[in-house]
Amino acid sequence: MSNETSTKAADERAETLKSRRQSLKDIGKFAAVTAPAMLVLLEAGSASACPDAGNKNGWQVNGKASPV
Amino acid sequence: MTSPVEVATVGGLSCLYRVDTGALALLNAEASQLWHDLQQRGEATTDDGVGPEPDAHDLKARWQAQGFLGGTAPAEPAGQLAVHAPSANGGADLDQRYTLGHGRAIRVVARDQVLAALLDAVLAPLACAAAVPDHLIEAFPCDVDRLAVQVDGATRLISGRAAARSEVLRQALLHLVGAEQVGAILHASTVAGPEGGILLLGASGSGKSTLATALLAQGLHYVADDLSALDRGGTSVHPFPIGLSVKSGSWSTVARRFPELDALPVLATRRLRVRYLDARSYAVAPAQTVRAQRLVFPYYAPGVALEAERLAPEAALQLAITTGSEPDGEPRSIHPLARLCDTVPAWHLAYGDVDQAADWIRSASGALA
Repeated sequence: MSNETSTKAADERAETLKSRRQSLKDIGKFAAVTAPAMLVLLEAGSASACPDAGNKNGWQVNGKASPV
Repeated sequence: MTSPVEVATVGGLSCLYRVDTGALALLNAEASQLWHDLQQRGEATTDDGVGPEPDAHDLKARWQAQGFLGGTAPAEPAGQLAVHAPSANGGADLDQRYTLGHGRAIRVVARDQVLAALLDAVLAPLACAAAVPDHLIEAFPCDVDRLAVQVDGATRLISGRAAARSEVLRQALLHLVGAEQVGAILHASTVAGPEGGILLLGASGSGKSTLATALLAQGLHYVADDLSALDRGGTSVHPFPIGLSVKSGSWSTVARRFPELDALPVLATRRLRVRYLDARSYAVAPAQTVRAQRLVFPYYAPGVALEAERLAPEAALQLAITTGSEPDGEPRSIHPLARLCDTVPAWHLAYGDVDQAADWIRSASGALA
């Protein structure tokens, strides 16, 4: 792997980690919201055939990208 | 008639699960109250059950779309098709029998050279030529991009060999343990310390197997790699000691503890190069389920300082689902996975150094000598 590719992969992983940390904070905010709110973890019929697939929905509450 | 919608509690939040479609959602307290009101009023098909708030109407429409208010399943399960497998006799690239050593056995037939080599290597620790198989699992090319995985007549079409490998392993696990004994298949590697099982959950590349090898080298026992079968009670994991999947980026790290790794054959798919480490000599007894003591969601990123963060149960469930863990077994239910996340302490562990991460896990799990 070239240095440039390696650096790019490391940057991507650091960015993913940042986004995951934010998502974990957001779920705490979701629980505290006083209006009715739903977080869809899996859509109907979207069950993954392999463990690499996971959830394709990303982070959405009540169909909107922002959790709060 | 039994309702197709289950309700479980995770971290004080309601979790809705539609067993026939796999739809899964978390509700906050307000939404949970609204959902229960609608159920009690039996007004699932009218608009009278909710107040004037736009959020409530929007939610009701989304619950109807997902089937959370009962009624007909809104979508067919994906990938179920009638496809005829080639004859099971002759011409296969892999035709082998496997057992966990306590009763059940399976026969795996693969008609694709690369997939056969992957399965042969990863399942080698379970091979048993004399076993009388209870189930036949077949994998064969279906069209240009897809492979069919067929078990006892039910077929699933899968894109790509890595995904087909995972599906064959999932079916192997289900049929060796017994689908009626399984409550969920976790995308997790599991090791056992004196206090119980440490479940390392995460997506591919998060460091599950590499951390598992580091923990084995420090005296813990091997339970499962990549796929861990949670029991119906949501408390314990069934052993599934297949070859530990070590990807090329971890070879030098793992070879420091397991020098035999360097001599093992390299298996390659389009995206990955991997070696499978036979860790049978570190395994727990095959019939012994291991009680879950800790959930750890590792995340490897080069240069990142070790940072452990305790997760709320609902965050653990969200992270488990987003990294590929799901209810499984027969019948399907959310309760085992919900119970696991609700009762077993969970941590997110960001790390850049495997040894540091392994030390932290042993320390946090009371596994230090």
